[in-house]
Amino acid sequence: MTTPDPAVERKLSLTPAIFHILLALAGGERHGYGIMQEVAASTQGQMRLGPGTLYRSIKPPSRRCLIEESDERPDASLDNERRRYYRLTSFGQRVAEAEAQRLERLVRQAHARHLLGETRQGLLATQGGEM
Amino acid sequence: MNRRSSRSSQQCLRFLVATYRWLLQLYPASFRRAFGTHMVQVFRDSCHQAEREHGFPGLMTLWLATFLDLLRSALAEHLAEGTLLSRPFFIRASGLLVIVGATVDALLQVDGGASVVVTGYRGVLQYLPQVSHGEALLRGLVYTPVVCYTLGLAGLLLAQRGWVGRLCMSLAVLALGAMWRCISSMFSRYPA
Repeated sequence: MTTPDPAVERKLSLTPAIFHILLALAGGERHGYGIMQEVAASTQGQMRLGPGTLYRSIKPPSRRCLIEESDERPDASLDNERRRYYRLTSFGQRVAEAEAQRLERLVRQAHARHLLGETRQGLLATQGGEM
Repeated sequence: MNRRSSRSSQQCLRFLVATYRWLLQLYPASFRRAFGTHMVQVFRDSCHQAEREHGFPGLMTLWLATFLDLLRSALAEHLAEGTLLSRPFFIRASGLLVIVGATVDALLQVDGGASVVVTGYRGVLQYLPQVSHGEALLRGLVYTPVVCYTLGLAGLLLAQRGWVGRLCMSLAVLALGAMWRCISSMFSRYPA
């Protein structure tokens, strides 16, 4: 088990919106609308970020160490020049991983206390077996 | 028919985007400068997708969700930046609130005394019949919305300049006319 990084630990307990944005960016660089689409798709439409929430989540200086603007454009010919692309910083990647691990530990606790239904337990067991 | 409905959807889309761009004024200026263009771009993309997938109802659903998101995030951003405590913002917000309150109060009088001020005062008069010059006081209280309204308007003019100020002023004058009509009709129904 690796030693926890205090700087990373301080960032944990992210809000759902920020964690979903980090998850969306973990799949690669995206522009604002791309992030919104990815979040909606990955949550089956349960979480839909509005433009205000999205850019408020990206804006504060404390987030700049997690997310940065990217100068590269995945496909300039298919894209609008005015779009701004974002990507995870290496620190942002570590924070996303640490947050995912923290949530995983919580799910394990919920599992141990029989808070998860039979179907989910079966699903987790299957996924565990495949790994 | 389809072409016509598509054209009206496009017009609606352009109107919604223009309205959204205008409403971005609710955010603090620094936030608007940094992200305004991108937010409009994102909203426009979302509108195109909603219109393509669900037509006009989709556009309306998206608009409602985006509008609520705008109100919530603009308030949060003002609180985070501390601009809610700034003097111009306070004057502008209180001016608007006073105007809206006074207009609603005057409009409630249309059907004869449903106004908060008038109804409340009638209740007091019922229990204190010995109050002299009651009707005169009642008249005074009826004028309260107009006084509140004028004060609110003065506050707005102090804080808001440029074309937004002129627009507010025009709407305010129109609403003042409507308010005055309501009050006059009430007096003709309940002469002193």
